[in-house]
Amino acid sequence: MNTFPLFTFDALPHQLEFIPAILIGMAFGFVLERAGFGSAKVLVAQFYLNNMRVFKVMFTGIITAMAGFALFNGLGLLDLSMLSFSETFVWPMIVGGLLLGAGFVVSGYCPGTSVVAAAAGQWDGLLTVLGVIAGSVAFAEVYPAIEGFYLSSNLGTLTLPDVFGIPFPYLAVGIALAATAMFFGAEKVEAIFSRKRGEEPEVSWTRPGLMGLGGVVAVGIVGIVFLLAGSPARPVPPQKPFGSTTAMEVAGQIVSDASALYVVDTRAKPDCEGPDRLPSSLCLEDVAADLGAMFPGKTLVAYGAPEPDEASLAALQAYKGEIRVLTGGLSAWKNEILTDPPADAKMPPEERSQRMALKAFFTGTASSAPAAAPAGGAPKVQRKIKKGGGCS
Amino acid sequence: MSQTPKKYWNPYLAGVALGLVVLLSYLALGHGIGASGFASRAGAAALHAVAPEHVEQNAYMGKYVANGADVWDDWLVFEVVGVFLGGLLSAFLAGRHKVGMTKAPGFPAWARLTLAFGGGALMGFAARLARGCTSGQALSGGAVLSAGSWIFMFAVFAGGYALALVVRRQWR
Repeated sequence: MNTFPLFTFDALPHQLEFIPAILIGMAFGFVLERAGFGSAKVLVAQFYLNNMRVFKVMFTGIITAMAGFALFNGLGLLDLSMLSFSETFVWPMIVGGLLLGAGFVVSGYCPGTSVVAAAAGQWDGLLTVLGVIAGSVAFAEVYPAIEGFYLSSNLGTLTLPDVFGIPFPYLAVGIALAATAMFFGAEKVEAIFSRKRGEEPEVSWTRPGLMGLGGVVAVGIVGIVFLLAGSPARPVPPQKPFGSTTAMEVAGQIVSDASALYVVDTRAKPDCEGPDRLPSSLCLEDVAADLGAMFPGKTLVAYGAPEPDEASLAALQAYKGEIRVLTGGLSAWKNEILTDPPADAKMPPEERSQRMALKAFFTGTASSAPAAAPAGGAPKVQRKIKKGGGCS
Repeated sequence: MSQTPKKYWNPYLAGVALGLVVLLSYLALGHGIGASGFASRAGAAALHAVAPEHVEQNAYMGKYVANGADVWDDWLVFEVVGVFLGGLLSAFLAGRHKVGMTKAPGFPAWARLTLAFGGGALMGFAARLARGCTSGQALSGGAVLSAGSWIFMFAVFAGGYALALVVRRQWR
């Protein structure tokens, strides 16, 4: 049961969205100012090494948020896949980062802190804000020329756990440890470069600071313990029971709306590619790898000759939607749909005429060889990109 | 007589507070915070007032005004307004609100303001490229371990250190 995020996209009435936005913004601005980030002097000191506040605040912030995610996720209250962030565009982000860093040390602020500085009465903060606006417009003006670059090297919504193959909890621990080690280093560097300037270094390793860090570490550990306890190795999902369906039902569905079905032939090639098969059927061999990504809203009808074997049934488990096995398999199809009902069989007239109609429908179209490659079988995975992490 | 300004918060505590704000944003809204997107919209809005068709047809800005949408109608706009208000409140309460600018004593004011604007322009451009700035990408994206955010973050530090010596006159 997930209760967070509280207001997933569009769950909050649009008119009220501004309330949490302003409140969170105020908290953000307040903390930034309290951290000293309304002052260019403090901010650029990072790049002259005599005050490493930017690094300390930023990384403490990151590990705090990570600890929070671990805790809430570990308690089953948060689904990490519901959190949205922008896709990874390698080169635009490298170049953008370099340029932003350069702009940072030149202007003395970053876009967020320039707003705080402007609020604190700093003219250079205000000019920076105006500059950021102008730069954005300049970007839009030259956009057609750089669109190719802007969209290049897109790796999708990629996380570090994906990249390194290390699950989130372990990676979070590693990052927190690395950050702590770097905090030690930062204190030393600060001391050295402050003294070089004839200033006494600001001491951050004080009780409050250490308590803060300690708290984060404690929360992180608790969260990670819960995370690890909750999900050992990937649990094997229970075997889905398969429903069944008849040739008549499948035929009726294909006639009324074939797009509601995936029809999968579980026989091996070349049988599944031959003329003797259900219309628009896909070969299991071709789609097995994509089953998990296929749109689960369709019903998947699987058939064999006569029934799919164990291995095929196991492979079909990957499909996330409803699966039905065609009772009687290909033979049933041929007997019930492709041939006239026997004249002496007892059946109600509606059923007889229906079968005649189906036979006409399918033998009329089935006479030509079906297309070899299944068209449009596996739609691309839709991990909703949603809105970016903030700035789009 | 000016108030003695309060001291800044311990950076590690401030970091915890900041992390909690980011966490809150994700828990409440499902996404992190940001800043530069506001500037992009503000620019589009300003330009739209004088050259509406140009903005509507622009491949990048067009989406802000497509289908009669209001450029300002976005959570990010309100969030940045909040940042301003929060910064204002904190500065006043801490006795740090002061009209002026920050620079080395001997450095001319006009030069400082020009560099502020120029640096800002660089950042405005860069933030569009990177789909965010230090708030949206580095901090928010970094917290959810987005690969692009971490790449961006390292690049920001690299870029800053690279230019630091070039502009040090401005600061000392």
